[in-house]
Amino acid sequence: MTGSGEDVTKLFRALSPDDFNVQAAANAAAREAEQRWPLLKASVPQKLDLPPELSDQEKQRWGQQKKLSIDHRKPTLSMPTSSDKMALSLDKMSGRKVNVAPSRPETTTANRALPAAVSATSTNASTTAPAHARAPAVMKPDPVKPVVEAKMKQNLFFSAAKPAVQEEKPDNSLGGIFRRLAGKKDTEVAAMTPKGSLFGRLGKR
Amino acid sequence: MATDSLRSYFKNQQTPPQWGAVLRAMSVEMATQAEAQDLRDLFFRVGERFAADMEVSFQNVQTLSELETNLNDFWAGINWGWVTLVEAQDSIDISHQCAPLAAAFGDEALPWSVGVLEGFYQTLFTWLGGGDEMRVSCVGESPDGMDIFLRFGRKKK
Repeated sequence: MTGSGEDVTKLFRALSPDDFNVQAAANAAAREAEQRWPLLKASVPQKLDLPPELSDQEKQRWGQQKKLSIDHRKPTLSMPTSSDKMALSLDKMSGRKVNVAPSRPETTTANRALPAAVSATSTNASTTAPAHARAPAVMKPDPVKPVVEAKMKQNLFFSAAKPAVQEEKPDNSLGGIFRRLAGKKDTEVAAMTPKGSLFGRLGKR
Repeated sequence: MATDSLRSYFKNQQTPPQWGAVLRAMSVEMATQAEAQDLRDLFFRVGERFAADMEVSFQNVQTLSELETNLNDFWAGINWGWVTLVEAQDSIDISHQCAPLAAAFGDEALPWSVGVLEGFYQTLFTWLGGGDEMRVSCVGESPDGMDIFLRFGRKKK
């Protein structure tokens, strides 16, 4: 079997497509056609201009540029920035115990520096930020957010609890319309007609 | 133009032939016997009686919209057109469409025949609680006399 295996390999190599005969026939046919119909010779399609091939030096330059653009910096622990320190000191002043781990400056400073009233915009900012900046903000519980939400709720409840200025709805009953047309206030008419209803008025007749 | 023709045709159909000629003759004769204002007062009283017989139809009315609906049921039942009631600044505007007064008594009698509608609405509004200082009065009509515009508001002093 081993000896026949070599034969098989040779055989397969010899089975490579041999289009010599086909090409020769095609060329001969083309030449014959050109001789028969000179118009075909005149209208031989021109090869399209292909871009010149790059030299080795040029290829190297392109490759280097690509490498530079793909270069990733390894994530490393960074020292807290001045805004982080400021936030920490503010937290201390307010008496809260907050575990602030030094992290990427964009997300932490943005979340902490936000005033209470603009928390809605902070959510927008987090959604518009790139994914790598968004991920830690979602994972890490924001110590300021619950306080902000509580304040907002308080404000909301406060505004809801406020006695709203009651708009005087016009009395669209016939009695109300007649009173308006007569230029009388409701209280005057109520004093005049104790029942005030349609049947009350009918009873007067 | 087509609308005018239709309205004219409809106007001629509003009075039954049995009474049309008689009513026209009667209005002409009345105009020769009395002044227009007297005839208007007479027709006002006719309207009062007309409404007094129909008060039961409006006893459950509480709003202007309900009143309009009940009135239109009533007017449609006797082929007297329809009405729209609109509360204005200091009045209730009453637009009575396709009233048969001009058809029955003639266009020339309309200045005093509208008294029927004035008396009718005055009685009805008073019955529903409109004050004595309020008055229904005709303020205009369409060129063909089919649409009568009235106003329920304070009496002019």
